Amino acid sequence: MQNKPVEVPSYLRLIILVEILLPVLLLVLGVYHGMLQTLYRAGIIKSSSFLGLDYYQGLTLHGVVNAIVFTTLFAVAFGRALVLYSLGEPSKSAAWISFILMMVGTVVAAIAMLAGKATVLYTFYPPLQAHPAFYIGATLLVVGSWVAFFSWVPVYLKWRREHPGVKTPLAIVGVFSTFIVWFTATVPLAVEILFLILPWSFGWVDGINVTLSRILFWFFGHPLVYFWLLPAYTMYYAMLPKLAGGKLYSDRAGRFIFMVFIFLSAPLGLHHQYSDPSISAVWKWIHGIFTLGVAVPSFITAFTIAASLEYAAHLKGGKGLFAWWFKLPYFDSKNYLFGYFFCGLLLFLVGGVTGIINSSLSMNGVVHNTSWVPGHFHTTLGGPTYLAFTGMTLFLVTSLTGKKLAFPRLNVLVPYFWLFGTSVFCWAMSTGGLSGQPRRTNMGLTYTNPESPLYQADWVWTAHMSAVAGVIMFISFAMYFLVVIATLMKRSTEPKMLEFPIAEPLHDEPAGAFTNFTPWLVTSVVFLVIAYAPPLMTFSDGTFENSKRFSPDSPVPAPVEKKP
Amino acid sequence: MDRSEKMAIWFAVLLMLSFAGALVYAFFGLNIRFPGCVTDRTPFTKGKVIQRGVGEYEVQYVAKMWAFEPAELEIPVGSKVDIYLSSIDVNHGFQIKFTNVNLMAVPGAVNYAQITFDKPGDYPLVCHEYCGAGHQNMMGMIRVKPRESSLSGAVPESDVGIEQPKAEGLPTVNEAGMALLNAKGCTACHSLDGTRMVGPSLKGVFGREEELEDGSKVVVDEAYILESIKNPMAKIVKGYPKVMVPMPMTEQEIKQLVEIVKGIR
Amino acid sequence: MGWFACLGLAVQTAGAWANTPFPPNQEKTLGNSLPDVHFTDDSGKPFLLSELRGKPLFLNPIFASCKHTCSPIIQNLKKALPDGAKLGVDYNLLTFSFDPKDDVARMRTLREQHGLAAEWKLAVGNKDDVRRLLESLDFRYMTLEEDGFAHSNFVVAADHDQKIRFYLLGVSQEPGMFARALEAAQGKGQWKEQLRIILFFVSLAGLLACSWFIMHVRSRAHAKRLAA
Repeated sequence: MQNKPVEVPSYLRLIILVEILLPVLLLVLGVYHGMLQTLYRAGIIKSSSFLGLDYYQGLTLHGVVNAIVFTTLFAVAFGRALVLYSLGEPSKSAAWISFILMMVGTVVAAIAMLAGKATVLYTFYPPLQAHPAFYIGATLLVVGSWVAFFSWVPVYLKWRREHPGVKTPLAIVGVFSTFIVWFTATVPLAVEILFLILPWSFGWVDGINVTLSRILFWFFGHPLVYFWLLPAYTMYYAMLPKLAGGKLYSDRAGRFIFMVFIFLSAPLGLHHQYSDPSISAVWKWIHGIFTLGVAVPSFITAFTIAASLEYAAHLKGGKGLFAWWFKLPYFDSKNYLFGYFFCGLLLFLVGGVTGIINSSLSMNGVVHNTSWVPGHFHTTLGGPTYLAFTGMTLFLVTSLTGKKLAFPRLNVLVPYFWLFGTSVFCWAMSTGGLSGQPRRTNMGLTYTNPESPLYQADWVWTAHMSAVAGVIMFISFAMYFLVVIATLMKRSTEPKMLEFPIAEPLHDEPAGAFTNFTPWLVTSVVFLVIAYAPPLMTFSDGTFENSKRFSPDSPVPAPVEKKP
Repeated sequence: MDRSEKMAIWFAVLLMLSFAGALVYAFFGLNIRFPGCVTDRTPFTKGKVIQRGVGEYEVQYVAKMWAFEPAELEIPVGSKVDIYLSSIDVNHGFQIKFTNVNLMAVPGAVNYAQITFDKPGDYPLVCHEYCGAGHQNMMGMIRVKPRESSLSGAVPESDVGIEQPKAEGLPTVNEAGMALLNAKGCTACHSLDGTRMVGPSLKGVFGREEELEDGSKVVVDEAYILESIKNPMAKIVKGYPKVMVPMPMTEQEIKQLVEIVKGIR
Repeated sequence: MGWFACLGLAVQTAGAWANTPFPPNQEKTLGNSLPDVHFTDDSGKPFLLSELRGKPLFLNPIFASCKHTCSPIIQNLKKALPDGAKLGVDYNLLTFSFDPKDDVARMRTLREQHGLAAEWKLAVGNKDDVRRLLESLDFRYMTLEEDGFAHSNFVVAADHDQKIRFYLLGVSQEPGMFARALEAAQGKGQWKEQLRIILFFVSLAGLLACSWFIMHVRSRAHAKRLAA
């Protein structure tokens, strides 16, 4: 069942292009400041700010732009393109509404951050308080994404009715599970922002329960990472085998893992809060055990994708236990997506293992909040997610604009530079983290500054190594950005048709239990209630007061309007 | 499903089950765990060191922007310390370098860890959760003294946190002055009435002679106050921790603060 | 057997919704002997903890000025005392203070306040001895600014040889828990505990098997429907 190339209506073409190109523009700032952070931390910049941006302000931008804006806008755009390609055209007004909401939200939040009024980092833990515009911007971005997703559901249901007995395209299963996970995640976020933070941020309520807001944030924060990962998995299952020149080893494995993520991505957020007080120790541990469960689909993905690659390599004459790895199109400049996807897979091998370590309660105390943690997530969010998203952005740009890719031989090297830089970065940050080096800290002012009485000499060399890595990663991004700009500046020469390289399955089995989403949605709700009801009911046994608002610049609580 | 796929699934499941088994053993057998709920009553708002017996201490740490209280702790080697931790403003981290003590200081809740210091040395205490502009300055110290040191094992309670009787008399700073002292965070660490806090009290500080950590003496004049605001780490009074961070402020505000400090009797 | 005990603790802890701050590390303490302690009871008579050997012993650490959990613990203990066994004859119950500031008079007041039987022992002890006893029980506490302590809430059952056998965690107990503790302290009924552990895991396995079976049957029926 091969799909035909699809013509994209011009309004949708505009919406998708803006949704994937605006983040690339914002990434200039986001990746630039990532590199700058490594320079600050190494003590190469010994200052609280550089060129007008304060370290922590830049860190907030880095987190929000790279992890929230870029990922959400891309995922929605990718979903729009896939839904159009495989199912049909969703509501035009919903597309515009969602687009405008997300754009306005992004701009509003960006202004708040650039103005220095939201230096609270992307986790925005109360009682650090940002300007209400920051929270409102985030809300609009999320609601916009909801509108887009909800507009795809009727298209999907119509398609199912019109194609009884036909398996839903695997890429659609991937996209829908992505957004089901996203909706599961953003409901507690909405509760936190609308009911806890905004009233407190506006001054209508004097105090906020910090523990509750943290529980709600990490109820959002963990499924968030699967929102980041699943679009990459969608591309790995549905497209990578074809790009390699073969077929998908097991179609059913793909459907299985997407359904498992629906119910296992959220009921385990407490593993981000192991060292938080006033949360039951036993429930923290139970969340840790559940997290081991959500590692299983990733193992299955690793096997299935490797098996698909092996099949493709065999078609090209690859033989033996390992020698077939050499038969894959790593540096084929006409098939650059393969390199982008493959480098992401390699990084995720490290990312997955360090993730299992982090979620093991007994080991978490060694690594919590040290630089080990960014070492981990730059090989996951900064690995498969970043590479698949940026690669696919190029693909969508060239398809939708009809322009040929510029500098293809430079472009094929981009993911390998990134792979090298990020590997060094992960190694340096992990090593530093194991010696206690803290994350989210402007170490250049004190810990890596020999003039400072707080100087920690043993943290210096790993900080220097991560600076080297940061520069390499920035070079990779600069190369990528050059390719994007140069491509956009070309004249349109190809037909503007959208065709995804969808892989055929090698073993085409019936979808069985994975045909419909409903039983998995029900399972998801059951697991969420089991996992989160006890901590939410008992956290107040260990909290004794609500907290006032604090600005990042002053230890004095923000004044409350005096009553006459 | 062919054989390879079945084997792959079994491998993944069995591997995760073995990790789960290890976690069961670690949690229930080795008792490696983080605390759950400690109390729902306001426990403490000031740092305190309580000696319960020889080599047994209860230390109540307050994490605040941007210091730990008690900022420095001296204990003999072999001491068993019950650490209680809370925050009086925003979220902070608490990590004792070279150990596995790694906690969050969350306002409105108390955290706990117990540690026995078997090796003498200096253990930095680092905040690893972003807590504002001074986050990178937030480091405390635990000095574990070797057996032969002059520390007899009986550590007096730290002066930090003990209230001294408040001075009588009307405040010598007007409302606008207080507002500025509060807004710039001065009062978070310096009292106006003689109480020793993280930093020296500002009561009558102008004209006073202070001893610095290197033993030299300095008279607190306008120049010293100006330097202490702009470059606080330059000349620290003996016995106080080096935790003050320069606060962002305009030249005019600095001039006003100097005048205000001069006037605190 | 250590592994089995682990799992048993897992079951017991997971089921213990009656949480106590600072849950004791039972893996470390169960089976250990209690150290000897110089006590003085609330009538002023000195005695040693070791003199109470020969019968099961329940230990209840409190402090006299406690306004929050100690009173409910004592009240609940009073109510939970089993009818079958006699206090002072079949087992001993010792409520002692861990607060160095408490004295004999305060314990006397406590007895009057709660209306405790004469056989219920109340005592204060030598500071260092008591600390060693608390360590053996893994009882922890935090000094509160406003006076008083936040502390573990549990009652420990030791056997006739003063080896720790059972913990009653929390402020109140389910009915029958005290009887279970007494049985453990008497060295009886260990099979019941092991049966409980086995039953829990069998039910868990059964639940998982049923879920898998339902999924399997459903998917096969679904496949059949599609083929038809």
